[in-house]
Amino acid sequence: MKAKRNKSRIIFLCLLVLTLLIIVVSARYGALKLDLNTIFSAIEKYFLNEKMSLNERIFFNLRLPRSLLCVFVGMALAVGGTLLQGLFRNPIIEPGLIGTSSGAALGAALYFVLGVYFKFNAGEWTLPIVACVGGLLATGVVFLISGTKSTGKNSTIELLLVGIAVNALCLSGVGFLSYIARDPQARSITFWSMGSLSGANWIAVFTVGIVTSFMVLLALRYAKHLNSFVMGEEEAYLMGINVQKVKLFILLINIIMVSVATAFVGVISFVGLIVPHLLRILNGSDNRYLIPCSALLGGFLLAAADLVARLAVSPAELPIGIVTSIIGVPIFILLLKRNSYKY
Amino acid sequence: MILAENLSYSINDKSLIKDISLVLHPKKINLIIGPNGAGKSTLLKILTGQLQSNTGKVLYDDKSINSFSTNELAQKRALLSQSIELSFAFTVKEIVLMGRYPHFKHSPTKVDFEIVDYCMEMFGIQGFAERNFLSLSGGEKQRVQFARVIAQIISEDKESERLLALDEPLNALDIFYQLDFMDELRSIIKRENIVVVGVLHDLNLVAKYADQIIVLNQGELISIGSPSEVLTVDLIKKVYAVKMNVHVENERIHLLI
Repeated sequence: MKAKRNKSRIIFLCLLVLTLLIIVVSARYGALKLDLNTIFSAIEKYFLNEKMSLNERIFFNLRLPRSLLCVFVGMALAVGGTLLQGLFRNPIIEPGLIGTSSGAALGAALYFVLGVYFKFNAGEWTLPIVACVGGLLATGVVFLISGTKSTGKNSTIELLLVGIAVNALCLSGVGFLSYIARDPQARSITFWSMGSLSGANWIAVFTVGIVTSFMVLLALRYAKHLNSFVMGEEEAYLMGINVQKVKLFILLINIIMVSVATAFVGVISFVGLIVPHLLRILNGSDNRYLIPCSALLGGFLLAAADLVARLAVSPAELPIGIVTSIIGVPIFILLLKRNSYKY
Repeated sequence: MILAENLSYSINDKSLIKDISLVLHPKKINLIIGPNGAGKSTLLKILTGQLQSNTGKVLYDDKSINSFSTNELAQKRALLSQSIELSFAFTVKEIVLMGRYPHFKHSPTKVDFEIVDYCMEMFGIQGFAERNFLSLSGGEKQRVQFARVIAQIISEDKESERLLALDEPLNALDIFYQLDFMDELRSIIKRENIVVVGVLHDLNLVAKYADQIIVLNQGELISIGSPSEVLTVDLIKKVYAVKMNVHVENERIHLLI
């Protein structure tokens, strides 16, 4: 057990180094390669409040916020996946499955197609706000429908089933909106549904960063509780866990984190599913290890995927959702097949 | 001493438990018997706090079970059920450590680890402490669960009274482990101030190990007492509608079909 805890620490440190490294690397490479001196002088000039050159501005206003946003969004999705898989005792769950991401997608689609008729206008904040509200509303609907029988063994399964149904409903709403949309609007919907980080700016970084960091720290406090769910809610209760309260907190943490992240970058699938699995293969299912490490691995993977998305068809970009799937799926299947790993 | 007073429980107008009162003493094994649907599991769940009875009360050491928080209750009572499945891989030691969850906030203390080691040794599972629980055989899994449950209610305060509930825990085990478990249980309650209350189906095991037998039928308490008082041909016929021969040999009861 001591060996295992040490292994957890080593994995955590490695992931920390990798994540810091990918921030720098992904800030350097793109359609235009920046050298390290540009990066240092940009940071220096920011603090000295001096005027930056074009390359320095590319680094400071485009590249750096983008790679940081990637890391925070990846964190939110991966930790969300860890939390929901643990809570539902089910390894095939993605963090958006209880309506959050499809609701956000519906909100975004509504904005793209009917946005001109909205009474509400908050400038560049309009899309994130509408998407976030969409995600929260859809999740709220899931809770309302499934919440009537909020106690008992089946409540969790019911929540999941209602979530899947509401997901399907939201996605058909998105489909309908794309169908009636004009061409550029339909393209916006498609791009948003596959995730895009091209809109990254410092406001997005701070919003997603603060919300995610705070929620991950909060989630860490529930790692022990989440472990006890592995034998079922009945056993968790017998082990002294206030099941309903813990369930509510974990769901809230997940919903807030995922809807804020999704609001800024669109729907990015697969990160929330694959990261907890990769870590379980490496060193087991203890959530005290899974939660912090999935935050880092999620951040690293998404930043790496974004780098690939920018470099693969440079100077154009691939939607990041395509990259996460193309790279993620084969690795995932390979690992599953190679290991005598039982989830 | 654990007291149950006038417990009744019904669901959708169907009465599962009718006006049951019991006294359960520490360091004694109390076993509940009765046919399927007699209310054995319901009674057990009320005694552990998993279900709230409609009337009556359960007292642990003169304090109502409702006066404890979920966590306090978990320090005082544990339940071993028949087969617990895990949704994700955990090692044996991690599972046994879960038994200590009610006792520490975020990180286990040295005492917690000592108790975990002690319990693993007790059930002979320290040899596969680092193995994945999901890769174990049925009997090994149950030994791990037994160790976890005992780790949950071991207390530094030897005087404090605790409850161990058993819900048909021996079902997946062969005869060797069935006897082994029950012997282990007996030696644990010699050292710890624990009340054991449980449901077992095998009447011969009940006859061999029970200090007090509680007979339920259709939610009612039919009989309560020592094996020789309770296990008679007439009672078994009345409750199970089965004819059995009861042999008494050196004060030991043997039941034959």
